[in-house]
Amino acid sequence: MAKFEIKVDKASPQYQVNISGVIDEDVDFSGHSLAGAQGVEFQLGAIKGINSCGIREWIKWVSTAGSAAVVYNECPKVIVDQINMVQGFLPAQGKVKSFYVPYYSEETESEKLVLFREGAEFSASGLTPPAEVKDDKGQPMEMDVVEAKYFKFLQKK
Amino acid sequence: MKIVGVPSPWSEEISTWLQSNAIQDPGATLLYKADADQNSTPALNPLSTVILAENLDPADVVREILGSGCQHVMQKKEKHWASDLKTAIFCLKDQAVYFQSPAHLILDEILRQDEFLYRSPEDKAMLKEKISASVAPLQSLIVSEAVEAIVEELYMNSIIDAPREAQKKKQKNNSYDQGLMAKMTISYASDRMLISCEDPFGSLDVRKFVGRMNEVYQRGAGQVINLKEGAGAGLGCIILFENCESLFLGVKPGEKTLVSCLVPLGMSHRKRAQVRKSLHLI
Repeated sequence: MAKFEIKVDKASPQYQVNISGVIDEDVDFSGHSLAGAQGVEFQLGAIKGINSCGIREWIKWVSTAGSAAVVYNECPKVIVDQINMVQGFLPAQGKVKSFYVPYYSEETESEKLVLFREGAEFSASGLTPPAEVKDDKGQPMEMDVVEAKYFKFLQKK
Repeated sequence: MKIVGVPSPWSEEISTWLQSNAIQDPGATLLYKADADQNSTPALNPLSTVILAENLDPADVVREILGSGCQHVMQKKEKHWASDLKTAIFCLKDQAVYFQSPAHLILDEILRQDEFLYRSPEDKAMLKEKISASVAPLQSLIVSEAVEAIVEELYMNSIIDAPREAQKKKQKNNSYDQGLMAKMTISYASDRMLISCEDPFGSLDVRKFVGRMNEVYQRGAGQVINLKEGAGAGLGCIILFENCESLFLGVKPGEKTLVSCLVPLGMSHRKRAQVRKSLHLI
């Protein structure tokens, strides 16, 4: 089981938060208040899962940032799904700077995650996906999401 | 079995399947519903009616089962539609067949089956490690993520919600401290897997559970999430349904709850999203 770990660096008013593992009913954010931050930058690439209690704890915790600018980096699919499904998972003043998009090859059934970055693969004006994504055997892969659903959060901003 | 409104050639296909599998007439009606806006036929007995659809969104499936009072809403799929029909027919006749072994009822074959017993929060890490190892040979991140999401919610329902509800209902069996155990079973077929979770309380209120699903779909998860401590967030029901193609909610009141999630294998996210969902209350 991927153990939950959190590091909050408050050395500057721009807090840096690193999280890994599974966010579940045992998570305890109480010692990691984000109050007083001017901005909070989250690194979320190592999150392996989140359950319904974890979603609740996340929303309550992130709200401690108040009106500080919140930025999510390297959101895995499980986090993108929550941003799309649960209003408040990404605060109103929050922004996603990068997130993973699954790709799939029907030919080989191989799977790959491709990082979409603001200013490169997406921007306010839309998506610019990589021209070509190939699997380890050189087979072309297709973006494996329902675009209207997966990229819904980009349209909110 | 009375088949009402099912278009050809599917009605013939279903009739042939019923005959070739020697399914005895359970006195049930199979009622076709073309789309979410079509009214159900109120003259039919909901407790002996299986609703058959082919174009309902997950939210429509939930709304239909609530509105009609029926126990089974199944949808047409490219493959395996018969397992939903078989489950519905058999359960209308005798629910015991589901509680004996959901995998034998729902899957056409069982290539492998792993069982995991647990009884306390201290068992969670061990449970998840064993399940992870069970799923690993599939070598699919898509499947692993779905299993992770389903197992998390089933685990919480069985360990936290089920005994709490049993205590509220003043059941004699209301705590794992009484030597009771919960059981998670994963059964594998060639292109599907079934995750079943059994708790020893039978305290789940199925209609309330489905009502909550409807609330989340209609108002949005962010609007209805329960932010109070000491209770569930109320989103687990939707996380289960969104991660499977068929959800089976079985309760023997005061005795056991057996929830099963049917998960497709060897399929992209995009194809999984196109599979129409079925919901069975048992």
